[in-house]
Amino acid sequence: MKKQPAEVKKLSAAVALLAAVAVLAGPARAQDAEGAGIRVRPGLGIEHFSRTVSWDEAASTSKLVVSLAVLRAEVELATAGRMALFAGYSLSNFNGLTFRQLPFSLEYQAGTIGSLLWGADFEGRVAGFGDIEVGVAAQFAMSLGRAKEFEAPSLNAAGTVDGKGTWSRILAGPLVRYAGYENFTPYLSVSYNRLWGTFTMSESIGALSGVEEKKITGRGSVGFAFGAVFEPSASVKVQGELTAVPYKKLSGGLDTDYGVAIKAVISI
Amino acid sequence: MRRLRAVAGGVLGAGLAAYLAFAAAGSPSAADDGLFVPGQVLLKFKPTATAAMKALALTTLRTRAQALISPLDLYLVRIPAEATVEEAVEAFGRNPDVAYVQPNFIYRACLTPNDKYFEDQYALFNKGQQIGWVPGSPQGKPSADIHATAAWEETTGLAHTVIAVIDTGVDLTHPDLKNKIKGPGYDFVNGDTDASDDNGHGTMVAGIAAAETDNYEGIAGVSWNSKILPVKVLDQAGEGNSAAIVNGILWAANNGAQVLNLSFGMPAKDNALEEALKYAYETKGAFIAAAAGNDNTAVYYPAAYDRYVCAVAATDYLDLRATWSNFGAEVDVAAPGVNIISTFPVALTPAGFPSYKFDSGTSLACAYVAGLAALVRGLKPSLTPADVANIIRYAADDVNAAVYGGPDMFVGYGRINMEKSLVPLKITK
Repeated sequence: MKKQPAEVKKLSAAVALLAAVAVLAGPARAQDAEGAGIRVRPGLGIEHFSRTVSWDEAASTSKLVVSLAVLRAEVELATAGRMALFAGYSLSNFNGLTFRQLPFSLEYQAGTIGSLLWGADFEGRVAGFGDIEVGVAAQFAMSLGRAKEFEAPSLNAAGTVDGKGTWSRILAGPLVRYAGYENFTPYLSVSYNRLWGTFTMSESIGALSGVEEKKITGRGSVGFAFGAVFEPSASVKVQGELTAVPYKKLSGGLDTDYGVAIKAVISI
Repeated sequence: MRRLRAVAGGVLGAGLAAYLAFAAAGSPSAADDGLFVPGQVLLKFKPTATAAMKALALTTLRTRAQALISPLDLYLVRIPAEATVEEAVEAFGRNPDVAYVQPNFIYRACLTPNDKYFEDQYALFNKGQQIGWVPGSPQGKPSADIHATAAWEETTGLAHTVIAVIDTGVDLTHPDLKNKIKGPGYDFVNGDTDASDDNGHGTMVAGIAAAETDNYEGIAGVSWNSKILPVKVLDQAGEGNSAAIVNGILWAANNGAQVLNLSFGMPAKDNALEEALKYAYETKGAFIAAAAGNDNTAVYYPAAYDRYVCAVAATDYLDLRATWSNFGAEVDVAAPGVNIISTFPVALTPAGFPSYKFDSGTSLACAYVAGLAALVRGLKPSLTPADVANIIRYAADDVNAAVYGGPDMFVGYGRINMEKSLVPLKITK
């Protein structure tokens, strides 16, 4: 049986903890203030996405692969929409980033780095045409990064290698949903989808030392999402979403990055 | 009710955790490793397959033929974005009408140069070949080399990196060198601007460091693109005096040489020489490599000027220290110096023979270090000469670790390793 990396175990434990907190805190925190048209509901969200990022002035690319789990606090704004704050933990894999300005060039292949993450999202209704609703959606998320020490390469001098990667993402755009089903609301959206960040690698080997900061930028800036909200009961809402971000490859031609997100909101 | 919620939450949490564990732990596919082109496979149908069968096979898997390599009736097939190449190969492989299906593999040039005598350059790529042209010559040992071919994938050097060969001069007309010479240089023996080689030693050094490479001619140089600045300070007999050498070092440093190769020596201190080295190193930022000497005794000067010079000992085709290589605490690294083939002046070569020669000595070992230093400087121009020396030292292979672990007086930090010096080192945990 394959041993899970420590970061994955941490994230799994964090998810389980968040789930427990959400369920136990639900009754206490959920404020059903229907008279005021506002409901605050706790929830959970998970997401996994891959994004091609370019660096060195767009001369090189690699994949940023992220898995995240967050605890959400959603505020339903009556018929106007909803907004949410979220915070949680992300595992970000920056494999492939190469640092050639350090005395000894380094290629990052150490896998995921765990980090706290926070953000907010908003979904608003703009107009309705029968069962078709038109709205807007936006999200900001930021992975704060965590400095991590890695095993220095095997050389004739002892050394240390440290790295810290952060990223932020902003999404904003229109969405169209079909509200003709009772508990199931599919939707499509197009969004401006920008991802940016930095990875700072420092190296100290014998008498040599150096620091190199690599600015990363997500390839492509328009994303497409297809998702659905499923509400099996008044107290449970589950939302699933598939995203695609087409981008132009450095070598020419197009390719696409994909992601999947699941959100669950529970209130009783 | 509370218990039900707790159970539901636990199940949800466990599910999420399992999902994230799966998502995070998933190992990258071979496509991620760049072994083949993502989203494409090469597909060949059996001769019995009709056009309808082919179309059905393609549409069933929602693929489309992107191109046809007609002489082989081989299709380049685009697969749907949600499918991996592995899945497509497996799915097509189950089709009885398919003769074979495979990924569209990615091939990469290994940058093995096409130079005629590259096979004889065990120092650059040792695969256990015979060392020398004489029947009965010894065999090399695989990997007892400076790992040049892997390093060349990272860099083959820059034309503005100049290696000064401060020696007997350089054959300016040699077919493997004439395009690499940065000007006629200077002759401090005869006091003119013609630094032609009347001995052969400097031409051998120049060829090792930076012979024209991948030109179907002669040998490969360590730094393919660097230029050679010929500075003649040794006469026809291979001898020179302090004044000429000091002048040569100062002239080279003042004329843009970022790397100085000093493949000569003598056992006594020389204050004037030391001062010239200090100027080149500290004031002009030149990296200086010098030969340790070939007398199985203490390291010669200038190699023994530890503060400014990278002293180079010699190893052989088995990664063993050459028995005649000088030794001492000043030795920084070693490089192959036994039975080394290099360029030799055309004018000094007997008619009918190629203008290349096998020879041995720390002089030749030194030239490998000079070539490597030029590659490092080209790749990382902001590094100081001390940084360059440390990269070369730290990346060396400690070939005598079984006897002398760590730096020692015979091979210093070890035999140089171009790959570890230049290619990005993988940080894996």
